[in-house]
Amino acid sequence: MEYWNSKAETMPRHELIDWQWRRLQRAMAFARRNSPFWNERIPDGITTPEEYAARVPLLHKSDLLAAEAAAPPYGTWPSLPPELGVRHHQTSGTSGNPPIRTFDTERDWSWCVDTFCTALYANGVRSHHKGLVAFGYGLFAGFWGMHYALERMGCTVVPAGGLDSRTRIRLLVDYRIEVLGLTPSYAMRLIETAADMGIDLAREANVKVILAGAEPRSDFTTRTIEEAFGARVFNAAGTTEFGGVFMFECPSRRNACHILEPSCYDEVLDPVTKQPVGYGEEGVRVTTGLSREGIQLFRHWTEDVVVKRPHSDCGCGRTWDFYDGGILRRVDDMRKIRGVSVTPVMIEDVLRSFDEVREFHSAIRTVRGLDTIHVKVETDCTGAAGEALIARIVEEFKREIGIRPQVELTEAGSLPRSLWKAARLHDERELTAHG
Amino acid sequence: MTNANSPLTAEQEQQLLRTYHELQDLAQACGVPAVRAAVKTALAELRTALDGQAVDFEYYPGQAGVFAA
Repeated sequence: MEYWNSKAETMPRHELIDWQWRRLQRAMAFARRNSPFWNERIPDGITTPEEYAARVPLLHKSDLLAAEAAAPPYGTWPSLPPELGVRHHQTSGTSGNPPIRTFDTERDWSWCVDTFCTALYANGVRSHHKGLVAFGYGLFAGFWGMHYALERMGCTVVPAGGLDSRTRIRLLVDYRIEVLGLTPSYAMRLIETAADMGIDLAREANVKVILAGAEPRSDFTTRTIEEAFGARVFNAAGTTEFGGVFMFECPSRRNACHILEPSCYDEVLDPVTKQPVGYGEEGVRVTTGLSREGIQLFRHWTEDVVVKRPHSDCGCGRTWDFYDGGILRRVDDMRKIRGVSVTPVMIEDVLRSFDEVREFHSAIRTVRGLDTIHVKVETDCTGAAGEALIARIVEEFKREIGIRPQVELTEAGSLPRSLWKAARLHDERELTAHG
Repeated sequence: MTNANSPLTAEQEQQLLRTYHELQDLAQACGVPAVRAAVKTALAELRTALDGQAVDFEYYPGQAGVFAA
């Protein structure tokens, strides 16, 4: 096993925990001294991790938005003057809220890039490789860090922002790209585009490693991407608020997403009682950043549902605990439909198992007072073949999820495709309750 | 193959730390914009490298001085 930073990655667990606590104490002292926001929230005299959990309040998105509104654009939470920033990023604001805006100092950005290097190196990326990052290179932090990480590692990066999917496919093939970064949703789009172009990616391209991150995905989607590209897919995630990668999937064990524990002190809490849950139990990830200086983060209630397991269950030699399956879902992703809990990934898992399904869109609607799943499926099947497909989809939903959906077929190419994260399950119950 | 057993030696660690401090001094004293910019970039990268080796040093600005814009 090779590591980007062998000392930090394989440090004995008790040393790592001591180191984390020293870093947390330094981070708190710096924040209290420099940020009015954190000075109000972090009490003086915290001497143990237990006290930290008991006395520092959980940070919700609404707290950040309020701080931002008080002193736009970055709010009262920065610990350094924004003039020291060398980059600006912000969240997409798709939830209807204003975006969270952040900046990185030169030192913050160096650290962020290093978190990507850690993940890429672990997954076999080396200096002789060529990489392509298929994202928009815009305001959203997304894969910016991957681009710079590939440069730092000595790879050749082909910039692919602002290009359409066909051009990206051509670049992948013509330049024999070995490393690819994108979201799982966009990977599915590229697979479809390549098929339309008559290109067999597994045979004609040379992709070896794919960082498919930034959104939950089903195992089926991961397998589909791996088979289509003939490459290994690994998961990784970061957030704009945290400022770097906080977990990456280990090549030694499928779904074991190691937490970058020198940079983040993570708690996993019961969503109702807000008390810590044990290894192997589902809870909400609450994170504290230990590395960033410009914008710091303490006890951020991320709404990510995770299951933490001890590092020893992986066996790669890293002493960093891991999230089994990465981010399983967002705490607000789960919908109850007639008493059955349904998540977007469950629906994706069923629909992606049909070769005939090219794309789909699903919604929860109220029909004659009853909540139901409505699925619009894009396919080439028509007539009797289409009817048979509907029947098979309904049967599979009943078997896997326990709900009979309404299925509607639509012609190939009619549903919108995602260039970034897909939103495939829409809750339209309020809109349809009186319809 | 593993690199887990080939950590930075104590001498290399001292060398890294010494370089970091020398560049800090240079960043403070140097008036040439091009040199100063290059030194600050190098400092940011060295800080990340030192941190990855779990070296205790002045991680945040103000702990020991420089880092002003």
